Amino acid sequence: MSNQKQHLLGMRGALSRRADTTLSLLALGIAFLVWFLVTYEYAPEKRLVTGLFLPSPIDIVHGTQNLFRTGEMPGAIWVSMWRIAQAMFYTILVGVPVGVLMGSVPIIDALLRKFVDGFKSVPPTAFIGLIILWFGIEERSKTVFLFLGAIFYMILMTKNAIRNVPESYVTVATDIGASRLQLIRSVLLPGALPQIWDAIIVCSGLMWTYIILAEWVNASSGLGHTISIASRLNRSDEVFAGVIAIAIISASTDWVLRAIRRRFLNW
Amino acid sequence: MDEQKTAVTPFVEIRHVHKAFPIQPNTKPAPVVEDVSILIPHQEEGEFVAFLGPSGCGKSTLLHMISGLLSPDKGEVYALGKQVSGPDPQSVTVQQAYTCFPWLTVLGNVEFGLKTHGVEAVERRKLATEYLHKVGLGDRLDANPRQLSGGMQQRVAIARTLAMRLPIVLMDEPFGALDAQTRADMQETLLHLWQDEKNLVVFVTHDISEALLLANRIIVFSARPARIIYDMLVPFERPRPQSLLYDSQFLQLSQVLIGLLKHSEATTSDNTSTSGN
Ligand SMILES: Nc1ncnc2c1ncn2[C@@H]1O[C@H](COP(=O)(O)OP(=O)(O)OP(=O)(O)O)[C@@H](O)[C@H]1O
Ligand SMILES: [Mg+2]
Repeated sequence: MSNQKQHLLGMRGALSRRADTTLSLLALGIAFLVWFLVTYEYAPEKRLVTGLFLPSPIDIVHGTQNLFRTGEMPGAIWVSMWRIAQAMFYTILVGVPVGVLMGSVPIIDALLRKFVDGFKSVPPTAFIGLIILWFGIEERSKTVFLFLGAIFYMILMTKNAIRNVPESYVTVATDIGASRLQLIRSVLLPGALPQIWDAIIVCSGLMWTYIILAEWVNASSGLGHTISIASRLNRSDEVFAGVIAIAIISASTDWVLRAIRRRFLNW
Repeated sequence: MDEQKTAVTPFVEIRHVHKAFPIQPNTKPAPVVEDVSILIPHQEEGEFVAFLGPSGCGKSTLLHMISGLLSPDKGEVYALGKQVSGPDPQSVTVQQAYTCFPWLTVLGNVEFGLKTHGVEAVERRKLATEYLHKVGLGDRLDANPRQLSGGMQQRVAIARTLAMRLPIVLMDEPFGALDAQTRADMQETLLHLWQDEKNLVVFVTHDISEALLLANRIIVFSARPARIIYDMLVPFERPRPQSLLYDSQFLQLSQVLIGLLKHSEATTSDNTSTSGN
């Protein structure tokens, strides 16, 4: 009725902050409780769901401890992060300039658009065969796979970021006498930087989802490899440990990148 | 004096300029500026012209054709004797909207204008600082423009424009967002700077008193499409104190201008009905 505070069963709009937090924590708590109960070992080897099918929270803690004790986990985290960092480096190195040029120079956009749009719709898994053919099964093929998974998004989002820079900035700079190069370097690029940063955040998230695929086959290290080995050995606890590790790293990367965005790139 | 004027190239000469825009999307372009000719002769002591006209009549459009940001459909514009085609390096505009770059500091914004004109780094800093002091922002050099009020942002834009010290300065309702006191201060600052620079200022405004206080000459435009309906020389001596606002001749001239603007608004419907191309 009142449009100030949303009724608990109202459509769309926002709940009060407190109701929102309570409900989401409640849902999380219930899920955890159900998980705990169905995997609880109330007598030796007696539980509702087997550990292979769904490990208990305690199993996962043990699995994680195990992976850390053997040194597998820290090494795997380091390797995966390093691969993603490299792939991200190349994605930015190629994606930002190409996107900026496509966004600012219509001729370049016309020439490249069909390729970028086309490749964007191809899932990167489709390239796996070719990647192995061209780059072998070595380290490089992992980076190339992650790069291909993200680059076309990077280009398109950068291009849109450039397009979204308010026309008034361009008008002023043109009037002041900025050259085309100055316009791109000193107006369009900084104007688009916050949204380009958003694109980097999205691509980082994408890469953390692709990392398992990238390291599933023919890898000898990395979190994807850890998960793949654990699943072959029927170690569900370690599979979950690896998945949770990826989720935590991906979420914290995201958090850090967003904090930087809020603090330094807030226009 | 008349002979002297014609001997020197005029500041600006606008010859039979036309410009049309599709006012609504997917409609035929309707005239926004129609057959406007203005001669602004060179003056030793500089020239200050105000453009007065109802909202939406085409003042900004005309200004953009002087600066070269827009090209006329028909007719020519000359700035200091050279035909304008493309953004003119001899003129610069204070735009109607706030236009500070949020990724630069206040000082950086003012320096940007000087940079595009190839001013050396040291000189750039010196000039930018000087002009920011002149507009009363000397203590906010390192601030981010988004931390400033709208009026302060507009002053940054004004400093950026004036620091370039170009012979032609176009100002599109630059003080529209300022409160009365700041506005009066800025008017005074602008007049001081103009008298030092002895350049041409073309000043667009809705405000009749502002036009009378600042300008040597007021050109009044009709409602869209903009045509010149009156060209007035302002008779007041300088300096013009704020008390002029209560002077009887000032009030008389205000009445004349109010009448002209009322009349021009009243003819709007006639204009639009005959504006189909
Ligand atoms: N780029 C454009 N495309 C289409 N229509 C335009 C464009 N620029 C201006 N117009 C139209 O031309 C008319 C005049 O616009 P202009 O901005 O020159 O008016 P103005 O006199 O400056 O008004 P105001 O005092 O409100 O700023 C308006 O009806 C506007 O909608
Ligand atoms: Mg305007």
